[in-house]
Amino acid sequence: MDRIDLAADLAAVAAESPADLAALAHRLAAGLPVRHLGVPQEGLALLTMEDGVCGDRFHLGEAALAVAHVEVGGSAGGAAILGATTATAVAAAVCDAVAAGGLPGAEAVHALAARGRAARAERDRRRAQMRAATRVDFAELGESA
Amino acid sequence: MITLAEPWTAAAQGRINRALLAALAHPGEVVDLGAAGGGRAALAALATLADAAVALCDLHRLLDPAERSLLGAGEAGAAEAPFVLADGARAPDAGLRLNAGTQLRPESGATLVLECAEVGAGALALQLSGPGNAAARGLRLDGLDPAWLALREEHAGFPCGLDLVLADRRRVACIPRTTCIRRND
Amino acid sequence: MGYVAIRGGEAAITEAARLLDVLRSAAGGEPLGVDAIRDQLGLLVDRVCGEGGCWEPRLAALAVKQSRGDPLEAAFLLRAWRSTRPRLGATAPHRGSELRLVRRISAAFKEVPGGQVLGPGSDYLQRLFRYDLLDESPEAFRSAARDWFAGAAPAEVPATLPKVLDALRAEGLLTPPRPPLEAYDVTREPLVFPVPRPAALAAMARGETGGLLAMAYSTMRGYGYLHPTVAELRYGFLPLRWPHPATGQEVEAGEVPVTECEIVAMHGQGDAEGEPPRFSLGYGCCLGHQEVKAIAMAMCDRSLQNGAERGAQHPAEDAEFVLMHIDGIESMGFCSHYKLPHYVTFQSDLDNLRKSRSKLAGGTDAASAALAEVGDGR
Repeated sequence: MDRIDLAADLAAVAAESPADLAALAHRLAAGLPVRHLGVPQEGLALLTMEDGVCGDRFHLGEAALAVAHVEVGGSAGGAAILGATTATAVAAAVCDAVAAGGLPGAEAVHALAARGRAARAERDRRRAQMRAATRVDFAELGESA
Repeated sequence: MITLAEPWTAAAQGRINRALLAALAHPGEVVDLGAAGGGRAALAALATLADAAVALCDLHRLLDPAERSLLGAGEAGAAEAPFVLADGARAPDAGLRLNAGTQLRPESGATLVLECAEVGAGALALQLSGPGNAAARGLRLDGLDPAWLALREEHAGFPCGLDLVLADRRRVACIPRTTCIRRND
Repeated sequence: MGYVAIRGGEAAITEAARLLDVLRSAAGGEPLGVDAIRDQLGLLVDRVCGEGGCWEPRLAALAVKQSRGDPLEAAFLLRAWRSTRPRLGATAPHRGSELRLVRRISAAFKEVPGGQVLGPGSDYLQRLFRYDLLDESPEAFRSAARDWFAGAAPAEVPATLPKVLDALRAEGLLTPPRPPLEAYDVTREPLVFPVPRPAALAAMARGETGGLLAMAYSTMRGYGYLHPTVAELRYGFLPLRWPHPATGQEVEAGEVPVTECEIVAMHGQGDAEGEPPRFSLGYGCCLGHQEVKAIAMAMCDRSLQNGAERGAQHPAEDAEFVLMHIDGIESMGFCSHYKLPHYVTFQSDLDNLRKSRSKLAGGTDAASAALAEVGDGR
């Protein structure tokens, strides 16, 4: 699986069921040498936007973000997740490292990620339904709609 | 699952921060940071003071890549960096210029962290006076080339200037830009 | 500050703070869950996040609960919290066209590429009470979403859609592009006027909705003349891209809800002699679902650009007047401080008044002499 998709899927798992993510990471890390490559942190990401009319860059505000960067069994992994705790970010980073390195347990990571993917798909389906139900074709008076 | 060692934990950094504040408030006071830096108080100080929001110039490549990665601070040249780490035993290169801040932004003046052999003992004897010390305070150092003190003088011009953190294996002493230094050896 | 020089009152201050908590439960009832506040008072939580300058909906909901529903106080709590958090960095520029939309409307064109989507909105409703909500059963409450989402979706409308203005831009009817300005961090750099437009946009994005609306409303009522049309108003979820710590490649860290508005204002002459007239534009964008704020911001942006180009002729065209007065935390803080003890300064005012009165009452001749001196120019 694409690592970019994996990150988004694990971020969705982190939002829905962080305990499952932590439990899996704990199990995976048990038999492997692990270390932090960066200090895991809960902090703020400054959200830069490009304005739609002149293309100027500006800061819309900040967003709570947790990041982690680890090495598991020689494989580097990372996670950056909005609204998560550092423990959740570390767990996602361990899963990412295991999946990226094809280490034992990679299949379990993909299975958990699939749950995140399903949650994202359901979220997208609901939004699609909201758009479709409220799509409007206005007509001016005197026109046939 | 994975534990972080000191000085990378929040608890250790909180403790070190209090100690550094005390050291800065009383220039020349020797403060023991304990074993948090793994035998390098400079690392303990930097782990506490620096993060991804600031840049660091490791002038003499004293940090290994793993430490650099954990620090998270960006790279910058000596002339711009808000934090500079150097080996105090080596004289600074002739013409070295650091960031002393500007009249409008004096707070951007660099914090210069110098690793020394001993803080609190040694042949180099300084008398420190100024804010934080009601009477002049003595500070002895070993393994600090006096040329660093000359460099500090070259950059002085209140409110601009450099703030020094002198560190050995466990201990630090701070000399902020407001302190007057007199050699006493 | 010297004018709050008081001592004592510690016990009363502690009890006053405690009373805030006591009054929450004095009338009985169930405690409000933070998740319920986040999910059911979402627009208030969005407003607190926007004005607090930080997307953290759970803590914003807690702030609403803790402040007993005062949005200014809640935004203050959130902003105080954010000031204690480490800054992990800034994202690469994100664009409104990346929004995963649930609402996208245009007041300028009835037919826009991709179509118009009303999404959730009360624009076409009469403001009549729904008395059934007074006594809502949990079952009815839960079934509303369950039943609606159980239905099959009609024809698909894409999640991302092009900008309405793209067509006008392609036709050359809009102000031509210029080199973009870089972002300005209003949380760390002071506003020194004249400020670049990115500073104005950032200050307005975390401005207080009512303050921003008042400025924009002044332009609508005639203090300035924009005659704006909302080319596009969109609300959706922005996937926040952040570099993967191991690979550096951007990954989706989650979503931030965003409202964005682009307005077309009066057309004017081109910059240089002989250039054809073009529409001028305004831009508004804020965290959460905040339509009035986004529209007001777009109008203020246009108004400030007019002021920058031609000199401010109206209050809302003056960048200092607008940007220094729209921050909710600053204005509320200044306003609130007046109720704190000012005994020393007021005593001084009182002394001055008494002295002036006694001079006037007791020394008419002296006062006349003093006035005559002034009159003589001595």
